[in-house]
Amino acid sequence: MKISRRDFIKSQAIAAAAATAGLTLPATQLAHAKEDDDAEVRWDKIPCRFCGTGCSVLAGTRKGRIVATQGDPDSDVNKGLNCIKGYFLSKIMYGRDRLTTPLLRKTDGKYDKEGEFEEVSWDEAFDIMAEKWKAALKEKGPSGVGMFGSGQWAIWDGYAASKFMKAGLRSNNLDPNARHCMASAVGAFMRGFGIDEPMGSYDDLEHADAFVLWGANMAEMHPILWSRLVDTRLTREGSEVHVLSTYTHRSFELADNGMIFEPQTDLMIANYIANYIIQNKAYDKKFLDDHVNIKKTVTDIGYGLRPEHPLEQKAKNSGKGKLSGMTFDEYAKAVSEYTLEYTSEHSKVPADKLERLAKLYADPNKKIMSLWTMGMNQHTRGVWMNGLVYNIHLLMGKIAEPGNSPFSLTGQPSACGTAREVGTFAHRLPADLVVKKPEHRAVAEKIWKLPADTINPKVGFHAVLMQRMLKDGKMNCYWQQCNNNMQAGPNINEEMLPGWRNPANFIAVSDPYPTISAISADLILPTAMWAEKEGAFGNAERRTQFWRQQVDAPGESKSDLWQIMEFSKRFTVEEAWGAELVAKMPEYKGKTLYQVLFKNGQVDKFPYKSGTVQDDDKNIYQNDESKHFGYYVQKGLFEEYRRFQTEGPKPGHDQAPFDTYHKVRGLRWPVVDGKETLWRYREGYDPFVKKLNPDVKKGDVYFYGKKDGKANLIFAPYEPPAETPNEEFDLWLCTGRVLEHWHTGSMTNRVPELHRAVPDALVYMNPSDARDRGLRNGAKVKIISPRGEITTRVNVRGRNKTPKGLVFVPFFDARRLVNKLILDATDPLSKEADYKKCVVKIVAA
Amino acid sequence: MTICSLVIQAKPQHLSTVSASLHEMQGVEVHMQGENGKMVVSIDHPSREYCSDAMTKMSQINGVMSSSLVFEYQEELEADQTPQEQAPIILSQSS
Repeated sequence: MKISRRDFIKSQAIAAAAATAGLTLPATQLAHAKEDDDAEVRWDKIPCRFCGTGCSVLAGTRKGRIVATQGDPDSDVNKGLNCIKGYFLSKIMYGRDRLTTPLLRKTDGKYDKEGEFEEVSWDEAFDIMAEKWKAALKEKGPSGVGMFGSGQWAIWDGYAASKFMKAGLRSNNLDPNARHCMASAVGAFMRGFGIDEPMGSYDDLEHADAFVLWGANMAEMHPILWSRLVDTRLTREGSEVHVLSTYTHRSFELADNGMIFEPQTDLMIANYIANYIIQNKAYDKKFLDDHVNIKKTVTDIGYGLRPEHPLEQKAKNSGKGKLSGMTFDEYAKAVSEYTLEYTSEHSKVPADKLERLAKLYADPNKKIMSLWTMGMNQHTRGVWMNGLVYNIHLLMGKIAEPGNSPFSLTGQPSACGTAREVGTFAHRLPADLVVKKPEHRAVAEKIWKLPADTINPKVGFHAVLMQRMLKDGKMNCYWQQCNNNMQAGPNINEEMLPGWRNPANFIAVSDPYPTISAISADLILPTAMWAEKEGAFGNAERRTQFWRQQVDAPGESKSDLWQIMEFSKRFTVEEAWGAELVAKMPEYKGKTLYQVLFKNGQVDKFPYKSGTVQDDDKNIYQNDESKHFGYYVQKGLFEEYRRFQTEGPKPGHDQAPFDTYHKVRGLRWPVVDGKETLWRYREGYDPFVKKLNPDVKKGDVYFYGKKDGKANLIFAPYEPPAETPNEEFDLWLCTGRVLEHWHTGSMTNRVPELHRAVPDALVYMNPSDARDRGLRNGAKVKIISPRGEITTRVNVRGRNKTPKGLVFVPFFDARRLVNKLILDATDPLSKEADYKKCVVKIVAA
Repeated sequence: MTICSLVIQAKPQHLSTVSASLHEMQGVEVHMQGENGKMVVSIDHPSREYCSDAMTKMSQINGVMSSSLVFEYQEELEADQTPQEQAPIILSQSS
């Protein structure tokens, strides 16, 4: 390579960073050297593959390979910045063990669950899969099969899966891995506001005076949002940052008030703050009278365990979430139990710190952004806890306006855009519709051109229940796409692995790499990665972002979407629906599900030929799915999906037309007349407010997700966790991520330098806990829970500093499956597993 | 060959010490810094592993509040023979 090109690239790099930092460079440093023709790098926008922040990146492609990335300077989200994981975007597709052919377990040339993996064609793969699925459907009906998808699916991957399962196979056994991360947040949105997703946007980071992090380590998990927060904290007069967690982590470095609390007592702390606000008469009475209903929720609701578990037997109201009215005085009395002394004693947070936090919330002149993710969602009372933070904001009227923002951060890149908005859950349909409501099912049947009563009204198996049903042999076919549940799900050894290995069951896993899930399956389907297909994600602030296919998928690997559509060709409507249902629409007689769901005049509406997809510079991009099926698949699916937003009974979800998104850096829905919405529910910012409440006063709120336009403030008490440290298992175990590795490391561990930098999951432990057990830093130990054990090494000096009595282990390491240790207790309302609290003991190995 | 550029946000009072620490790192240049603590930094080094390590080290320097990558470019040249290792996958039902 010529020296001149290196200088050119370097000066590009420096100029980009200078522009992003808002600093000017001397002219000499901007000299551009002459570039070789064949060194042409094509730059195009693509959202980052990783977290829910949804940064936009410019990907540089050369000779069919992504060779460079740059933070997109035109993105409102990251404004030219990237986090350290962005460094790996160009490398995660090129791991040496990338899967390129379908693999089926065989012995003597035939499928055998105990056999070794052999290469097969896609035809043979779908042959065996169809055989197994039809057998299961025949024997057990729609509940005999299930699909486990992903908050990392592109929007149309999820939409196609939803059609295939719910409209095609009439099964609601479709749940995403987002069940493990955002279900509690969704539950609280629906109970409190009647519609999903935050009312504010990232712009609140620049408008807020103060920030409160509730169990979220933003410095490592949402680094770009953190850098915006840091900017505000360092430049805005009187800005404060409060951080609450069960252990000290990187985000504490910026904290003005750092609080370590005893696990589960976040419930007490939030109620204490509400109590403080009421005692000091700081609440906004008018706001409460005009815009809020006060409710209480049924208590003693168990832990989402199997019904025969003693804890479920003991619970008076296992799994119940019914709301009933409460007067203001009753509410005041309920929270009055949470005095400063009581809360400080049980949470172990010093009283002055708690009071400082309460004072902040109670100050009517301080605009506050509360931020949270997994600490609050992966919680046996996660729905309640999300609600308690909304209560604080509702009491003060600090909501739905710039800077006043209870903001539920999303973990995955499209848990919002795909899982939640498309509704790929066991109980949902697109646009916040639900299967249990006849009028909602009717909308889906109309848009999808189905006979009446096609959609199954019975809620399907959610994530944790799916694994139990596999173990019990009640569900016999399972297809997992775009996640690594065998590593990421809870209680692997007792529930999940036996289910997958149960001879009655057929397990298919779609993934680009041989993960623990893939290797535990019967059939592995090689899958295209994000830049190898045309896709779309929706991030935490409701921003939908599109991208074009940048490079080709290797070998015979295909996208999730292609797989779903191809597989649907294997079923006729007679096989899937039965003669009675087909008779209602006889024009469908003899047709395949593919023809009914995809070649339905809507999904196949837009023509495609090579050259259709282009950017502003007239570069031409491939679109393998459209080329294969003969029409513009993604556009057809998206435009059909959009109809749910305008033809359904739940307003306020509007997105822009397909073509718009390819041109812009994403738009935050609702998009009305081409304009995005930054703050929902407030007149002047959200066009739906005036539309649905013509008498609304200027600048006032109207929570149109609820019939009376009022939000629900829902009281919930403290209830203990499922397990608490005891004599034998004397430590809390908390699990989570580290900055360098994304989730289970299936992508990040394929980047050699990253794997070498952080190869092993260590156990972060308090130095005196280590000493008491005769352990030094680096000592080899066994971590044992009532469910299993793993071996690792102690770290008492690392970035995460735990208090006495608690240890932290990240879950990215396939050789140390920490989720073997986790109890599959869930929030009974959201069905989301609690990954943050179970009990262990640690001994020298 | 790997070339990266970053924006490092240092606490303004630590600007000079952070800058000094960065200057000590091989292949690292500080191109400019602002009063508010923002710095434009580049890494130019044949080894991908070195760059990845360097970025992690930078974020851990005392006084650094955030470090953000802006641009990264990577090309295999004949001179870079960084051995490619990968994460071992263990298939064992009992482990």
